[in-house]
Amino acid sequence: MPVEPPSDPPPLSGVRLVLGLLWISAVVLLHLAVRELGVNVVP
Amino acid sequence: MRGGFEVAELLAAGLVPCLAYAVLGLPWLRPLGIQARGAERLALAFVFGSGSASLAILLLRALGIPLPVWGVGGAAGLVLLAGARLGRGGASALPAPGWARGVDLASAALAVLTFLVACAPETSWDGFEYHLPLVTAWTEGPIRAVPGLLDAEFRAGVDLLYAPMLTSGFPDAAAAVSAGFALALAALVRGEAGRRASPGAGALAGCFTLLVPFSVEAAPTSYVDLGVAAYGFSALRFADRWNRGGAAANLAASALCLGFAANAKLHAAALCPAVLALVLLGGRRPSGRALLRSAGLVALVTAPWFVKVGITAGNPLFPLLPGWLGSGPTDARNLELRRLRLLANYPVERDLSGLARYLASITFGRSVHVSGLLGPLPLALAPFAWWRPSRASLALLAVGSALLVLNFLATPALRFGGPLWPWLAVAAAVGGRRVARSGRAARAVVGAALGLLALHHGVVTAQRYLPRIAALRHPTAYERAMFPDQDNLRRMVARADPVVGIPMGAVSWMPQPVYNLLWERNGELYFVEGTPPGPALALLRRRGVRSLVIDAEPPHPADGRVGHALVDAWLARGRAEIAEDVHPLPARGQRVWVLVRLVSTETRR
Repeated sequence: MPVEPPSDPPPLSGVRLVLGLLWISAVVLLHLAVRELGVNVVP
Repeated sequence: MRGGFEVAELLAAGLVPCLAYAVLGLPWLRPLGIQARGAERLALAFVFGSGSASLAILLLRALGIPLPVWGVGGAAGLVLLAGARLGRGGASALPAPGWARGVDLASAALAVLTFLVACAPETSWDGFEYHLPLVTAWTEGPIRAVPGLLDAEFRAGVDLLYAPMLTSGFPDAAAAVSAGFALALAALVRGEAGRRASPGAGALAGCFTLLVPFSVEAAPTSYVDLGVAAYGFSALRFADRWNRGGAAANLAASALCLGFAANAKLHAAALCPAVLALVLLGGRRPSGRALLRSAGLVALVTAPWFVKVGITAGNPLFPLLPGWLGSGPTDARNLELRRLRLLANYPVERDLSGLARYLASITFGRSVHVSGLLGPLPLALAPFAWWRPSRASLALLAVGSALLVLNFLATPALRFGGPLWPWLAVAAAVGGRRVARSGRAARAVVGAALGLLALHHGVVTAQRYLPRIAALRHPTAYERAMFPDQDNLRRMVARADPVVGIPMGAVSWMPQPVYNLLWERNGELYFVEGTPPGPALALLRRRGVRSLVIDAEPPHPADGRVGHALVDAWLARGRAEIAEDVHPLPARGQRVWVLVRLVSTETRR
């Protein structure tokens, strides 16, 4: 049973939303590049 | 090759104790005021049941009482007959969307797969080198000091849960306990994320918890890190519940979980001051009496291990404070060397750039730390969870950050920070839901990211898991393919006179009693140049060692030596001889396994 209401941050919009979507895409693509393409940018 | 009935026996040996541990936890749920429902409630039953069952096993095995699988199952049956039930918990959860049920179904299928592959042979190094051998020693005889097995002096709360499997002759099934902890963590994350974000986000977080490399690598092994993670995360979770207005019973539940975590690995005792700080900073300071009661519970739960280690090692805090409290039969220098070796195992600078490198490596690096990966979702989505944090959230963030820094400074490896990572999954769920609510394009990007990662993690998981399914019927062929040199070591040991000294390796695979020559494992012998040969040989004789299987590199052993200083000294003095009648077998690289017989004093006369 929740003892407090779910965290409900407001939706993103404008520049924040665009930057946010770019961030998500970049992190996921970097992961795939490192793991599958052998891109050597992290230890 | 195992027949169908044997495979069924193996699976039952894994399943029955795990179910029994969950059943043994049922009586805890009502007194602790557990409000969780469904899978999360069952997961908490497993957490409390496994922790208390481990203490019962410690007592029973100390008295030498055997613990077969049917015995543990019978104990659980009695608990059910006495009326223990899972119950329904608190109010109904928010309704889940249809697609979330599909995700839950995928999680259930993954849970079954995780359990099955956990019952394939142990091939993880720490598992077959000391976790399983340690419990084997404590099932073949009572819990006691085991000379030449230093790990028998450490906390082994999770290891003891393997006792029914080993007692019944199914060591491969031991890792079912790890699978149980992986499933419990997934259910706990699902419940917590479901409350804080949405049931759909919770379902996804639970599924990814089973799918990320960290779980996939640890769940099929007898490593104890998932157990520590489940206990530690639960302790933090209950303390956080208290901070957010939960009942006082949350403090007791947190204390119990803290005790179970410290019993599993002493380094998890660092969670005690962390949880104390969490409830002191969280904005709802408990009374001194409540804190004392919780401290008393932690002391009560951890006391049996302090007594055990006090008796067998002479220092109840072993291996801590050897200078003040003594190091028992273990050379204090050995403990110091172990500490230095641990630090050297993780060659990362302990500064800010090192911290960044560490975090990058566990997020999407190449896993140099033998711990798997978290995957990129926490980094991608968790930052969006930041929104006007409550005092309780700030306290949790502060304590979690402090624990992360401690993890980085002491042992920068993913598996040693287990209690923290589920919080990242929860934060990713909250952040992911926020982004997904930000319009159609945002929902598409989040969906594509989750889909791509599910596909990638799924392929990696299949590559690791599917060969282990075949290994249920063909365990030896699988072991041979995984570690051919260790299989050859096993063949050599089979032809030697026990006890057989081996340099290190798959101890639990060996068909005869062995003595591990690695100083980190035996705690008493440095099998290196510079150690006086005479006393070293005398020590081995005291341990019953009559032969050695040693790896030798050309031109050895053709030149009459093996390249290990101590053995070569014994060979030169006629105290050992290379067994000419046993043909060497390939080890790693150019090396071969060579059988060396120690010449007994009587023979020499």
